[in-house]
Amino acid sequence: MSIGHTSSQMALRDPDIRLMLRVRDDDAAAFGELVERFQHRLVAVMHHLVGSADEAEDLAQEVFLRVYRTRKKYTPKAKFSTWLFTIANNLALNSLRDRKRRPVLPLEVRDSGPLGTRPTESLAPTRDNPPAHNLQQQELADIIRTALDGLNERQRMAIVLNKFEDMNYADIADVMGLSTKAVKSLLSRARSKLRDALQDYIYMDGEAPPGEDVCTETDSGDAGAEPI
Amino acid sequence: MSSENTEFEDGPPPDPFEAELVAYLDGEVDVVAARKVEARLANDPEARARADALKKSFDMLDYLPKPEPSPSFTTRTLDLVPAIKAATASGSAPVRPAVPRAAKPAPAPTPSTSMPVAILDEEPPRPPRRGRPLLRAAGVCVAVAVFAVVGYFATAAARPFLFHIRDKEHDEGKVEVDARVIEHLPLFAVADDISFVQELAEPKLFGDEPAVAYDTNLKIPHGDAADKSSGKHTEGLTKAFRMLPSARQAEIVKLDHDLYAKEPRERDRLFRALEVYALWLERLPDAERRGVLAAATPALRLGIIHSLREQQWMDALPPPLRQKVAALTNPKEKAELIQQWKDDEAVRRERLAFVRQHAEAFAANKSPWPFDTDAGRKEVIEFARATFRIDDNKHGRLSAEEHAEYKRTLAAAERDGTWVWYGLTVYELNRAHPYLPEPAEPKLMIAETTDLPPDAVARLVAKKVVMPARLRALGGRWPEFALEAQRELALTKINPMPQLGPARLTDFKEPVRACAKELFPKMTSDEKAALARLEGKWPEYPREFVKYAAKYDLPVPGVSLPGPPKKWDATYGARGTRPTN
Repeated sequence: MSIGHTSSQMALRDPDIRLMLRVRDDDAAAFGELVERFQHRLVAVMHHLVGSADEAEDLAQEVFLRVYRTRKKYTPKAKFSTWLFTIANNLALNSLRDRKRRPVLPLEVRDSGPLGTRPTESLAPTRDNPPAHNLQQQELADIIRTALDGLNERQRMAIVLNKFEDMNYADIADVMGLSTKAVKSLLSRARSKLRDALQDYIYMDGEAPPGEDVCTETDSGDAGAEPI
Repeated sequence: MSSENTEFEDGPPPDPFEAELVAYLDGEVDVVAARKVEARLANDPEARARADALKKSFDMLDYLPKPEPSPSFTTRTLDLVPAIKAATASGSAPVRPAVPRAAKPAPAPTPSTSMPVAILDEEPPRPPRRGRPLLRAAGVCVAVAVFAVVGYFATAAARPFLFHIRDKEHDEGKVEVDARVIEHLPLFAVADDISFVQELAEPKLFGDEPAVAYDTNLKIPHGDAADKSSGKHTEGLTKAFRMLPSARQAEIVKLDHDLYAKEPRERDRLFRALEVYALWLERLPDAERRGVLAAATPALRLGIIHSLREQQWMDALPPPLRQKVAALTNPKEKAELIQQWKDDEAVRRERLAFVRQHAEAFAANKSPWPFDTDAGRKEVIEFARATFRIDDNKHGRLSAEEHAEYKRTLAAAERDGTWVWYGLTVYELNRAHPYLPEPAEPKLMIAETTDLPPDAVARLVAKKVVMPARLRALGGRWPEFALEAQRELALTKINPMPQLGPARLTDFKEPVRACAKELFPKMTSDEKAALARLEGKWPEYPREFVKYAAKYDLPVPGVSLPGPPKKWDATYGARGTRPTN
């Protein structure tokens, strides 16, 4: 969300913006501080977006480098994180599109990247094979990951910003260069898809949450009928 | 960037109510719209189910693991900055800084050969290599070379390490390189100096790895009897060595020298730690390995290694334990829980190490020294009875738990011959409750308030620093009571400090004086002078006396376990390197 000039004084009180201004003015230590301060959020968002730790770090690195390269053009207008994630959005979406355009040659030995097969993927139950609710945490995470990967890149970006950066629609709109109305439909479609993908794993009120061992039906049928 | 056409790119327009519902759940609708949604939810069970599923599926994203950047992320990122500077300055097309993996200035692309291949300068034009001043400045080995594994892990695997390529013009003036250095280059290349290696061998990094800690049967071929490798192998390594900057070469030669200056057992341990570290490094994901190698100083490198090890430790926990950690929100509680597990683990490891050390004795059902003779057994039991006051119910020096453990292990040893456990118990109790030489003069054995010199008592009372309850609790126990009184008195800054125990040779009982006769001739004149300066000071004098005796492997009668102290350490200290209390 952009702020008017009346609030530019406020902006200068924002420590993130002040830090970025030091980076702009070639304060050598400031860039390191900036990387320290934002790496966790940035890597997390990238990771949720691309699904691979290595690639997430590469992308996050590239974002920081772009911040550095364009530091001279920085003007404190909006929240700094909005600016940062705007860069992140552009890089990430480009990278994801590139990936789609150039199907990957399995030259590199990578057993876990987003491009390789996920060993756990085969474990995830399919709709034809509805799961009991006794999924272990890791399995559940894999299922959710697959659901997230089922969204297109913009939907995924919007969801990730909304969920993990706690961004409101207006900020997401700023970051993604969309209108808030467009963000609303984007998120709506994304959420519907997520719901559909995770339908089988959603626990309803009164049921045990996923990730815990729950007696299967036969077990619970026997409960209390233990031989004395 | 294109903007408003998402609706068409992303699929058909959403169901309007669904869009309202999502916005409502996200708190993104105004009051009027919210009322509308709420009204429908109140009357429409299907809508409620939809809302519920939307909310819950979104909440499920919380189950995704929280990704964290690798510890070296900052270093690596900052390393890349000057590269951009250089690129923009030269006006060339901007170099993609964090190039996608394939183009990364990284280890040799396909390190698959088991033969060492030093990749020389005829590489394809590289992105500006000089853009990594941190690496260069630190003289960290960075270049592209592939080495065969040396050592007992020897497999066909190749080990890509980063090395500086040495400038050609410095290639002249070759020095003779020791074959031993070349042989160990794959290990030395990933280490800084001897203190770095010593840190690696600490339990918190690699010292607790089985191969380092106790698997003495695994022989590492790093001595003179090292397997002779093929000439080609050596040639490749020599080439790689010569390509290093001379400062780095000197460091490596020094490391070799320092390692071989150590006594063989310690050298062996350090080599093992270095091996384990090198292997660990090789198995790290690329990015993390580069992070370790690119650290600017040895201390930073150790820091990165440490945090990676911590993370691996956490990741290796069984899922229920990990969940337990994840469930704690207070970071302090989290840290405490982890520390507690680590402590438990350390105790188990020590016990295991002990068992391994005595595996042969266990298997043969043999009693270890000094329990291999009746006299030896009796002597230790008698020692424990006297120093721990085992039979003194009122003034015993052990806690109830310790006392019970002592009794249990002794009974078991007498019944089943498990003397090794008894020995371990006595050894550990003696470390936990060090004793001091008793005075020849009974009145110097201060164990009650009434034993204290009158002026000291008056002082304590006047200053009200005596914690009567605390001192009384220790009443009758020597030297604990006197030590506590001494501590309290020291707080009053009393001058002169009354002597609360035997603090010169003549104060000691005869057997200890006899021990001194044996000890003093062994001590250096400096040591003797240092000890003499402590005369009249209790407990400093007797403590130092006992320390020197231990140094020269003499048992102090009535204080140290019967028999040479070093033999006790070697037999019952898990690794002989345990910290003293």
